[in-house]
Formats: sequence, structure tokens, C-alpha cells
Amino acid sequence: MLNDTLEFGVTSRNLPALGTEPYRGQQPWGMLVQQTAISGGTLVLTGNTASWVLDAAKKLEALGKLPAGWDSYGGLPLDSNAKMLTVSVLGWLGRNDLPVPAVVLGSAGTVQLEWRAKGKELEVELGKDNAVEFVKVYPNGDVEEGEEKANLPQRLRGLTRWLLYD
Amino acid sequence: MPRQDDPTLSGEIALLRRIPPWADRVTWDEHGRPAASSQNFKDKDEELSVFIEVEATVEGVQAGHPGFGLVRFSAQQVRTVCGPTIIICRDPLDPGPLGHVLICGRITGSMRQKLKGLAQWVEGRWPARLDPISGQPIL
Repeated sequence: MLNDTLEFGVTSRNLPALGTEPYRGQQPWGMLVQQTAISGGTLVLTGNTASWVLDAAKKLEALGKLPAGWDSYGGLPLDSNAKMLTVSVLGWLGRNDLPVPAVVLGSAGTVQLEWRAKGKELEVELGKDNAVEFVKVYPNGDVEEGEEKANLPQRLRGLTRWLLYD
Repeated sequence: MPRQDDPTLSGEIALLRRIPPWADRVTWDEHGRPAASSQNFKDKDEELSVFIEVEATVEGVQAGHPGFGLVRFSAQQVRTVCGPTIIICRDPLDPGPLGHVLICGRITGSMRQKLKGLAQWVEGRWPARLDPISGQPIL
């Protein structure tokens, strides 16, 4: 269940409880205006958080309600680690002015975020380990794919910069 | 038992795949047209289920799956896009679902993008349009 609560001010007790321990402490900071508790993680919304983040979080929560076999081909329910990684990603990208992404459930319970902007597409798949697979589709139809395993916050911000500016 | 490629599954043989109406597997453009996510062409076990249209029929593939959409692509398109990294074979279960075929092997992100671009909606078989958060139909 999505539970929105309003809180003001930031203290140490507001530290987000995210599932990807290595990245704890890399959240955007500022005045905390809303803390959204998603089962399996906490997303901290500050005054600088873009509006798309809450919409994406609600979509993510909806994915968690789908049972095994949801795709008619034996698809697995949302994986808890993929969900927590997605919550982390929303936090890392929360200051970027992105469109609302499609939040797509994979058949292995993974999550794929999909953005379209300026004739480009960016797909980011978040799996059971802390690795991220991405696909970039250029306006001319060229496709580039890759995988990121380290420095995920910086790498993901780089991918979204490509989508919006490059 | 290892899967073996069936070279008769090639050419213009039409293959069908169901598309779920939920989980953001479909997005809708400003003209109200659906677009299937590339995730519809990925399977957790790297055995993507499809159905031979002339054997399974459109109605048969959709039976029992209300709200699901249906896309069509050819066996040759799969072979051209994926190359030798995949094999196409019939479901070894006996008796398996009628016309059930498996595309076995790793379908990479760029391959999925190409398949997404090649797959066509079967006439009159768009998925139901649902709100991605509430799951309620959008009229």
C-alpha cells in the first residue's frame, strides 16, 4: 500500500531505508516535504523532487499486486530486490526533469523503466542483482545497449542526460 | 533434453504472441494507439512462447485471456533479427498446446527493440486499455 505522509525538516531519523546498501547516503537532500513508504523501501521526496517520481512509485506499487503467471506465460511476481533497486533509482534521478516512465514488469520479476523524449528512447532494466542493463534508441533508429555494475547513480544520471540533452 | 532447431519453422510462417494489458507492457500514444514494450519479447527462461497462427488460430491463442492483445511476426523476421544465437522449435510437451513454438536463446535488448518494431497488432486484437495504477479500464 502506498502511504503518503507529510513531514518537514530533515533529521537523521529521516534517512531513507533503501535496499541497496552500497548506495545508502547518495540520496538527493533538501527539505523533506513528503516521505512515501512503499512496501520494501522508502522513497524520500524533497522540495526538489520531480513530479514524475511519485507517479512512477505508484506504478511500481501496482506491479507488486500482480500474481505469478500474470503474463499468461508463467511470469514471476515482482522481485523484492528489483523493487528496492527501482526505489533507489527513483531517488537518484528524482531531481531530473524527466517524463513519467513506463514501469514495466519483466517475466523474471525484474523492472524496466522506459522513457521517450526528443525522438529518443531509453530503457533501463533493474534485475535481481545490483546491475543495470540499458538500451538507447537514437532518433535515426540506431540502438546501443550495455550494462552498468558500478557507480550506478552517476551512470544513470549520464543516461538520462543523453535522453534529455545530448 | 537439449532443444534442436526446426528449420521448417522459417519463412513467412506467422507467429502470434499475447500481450498483457497490465504491468505497463503496453503504452498508448497521443492518437490512442498501443505500443508494446520490448519486455514482451523476453522470457525469464530464455524460451519465448509463440504460436503458429494457422495451427493455433487467433481465437485459440486468446481463449481464456480476456483483455490481452495479440501481435504477429514471422519466423523469418525472428531468424533475421536474432541470427544463430537462437533456435526455433516446437514445444516438446506431448501433447503441448496446439501450434506452440519456443524461441530459445538470449534475445538481447537491441534484438527485442527490432522485434518490437516488426511485430504488428493482429486486426481487432488490441489489448484492453487500463490505468497502470488502478488497473481500471480507461474508456
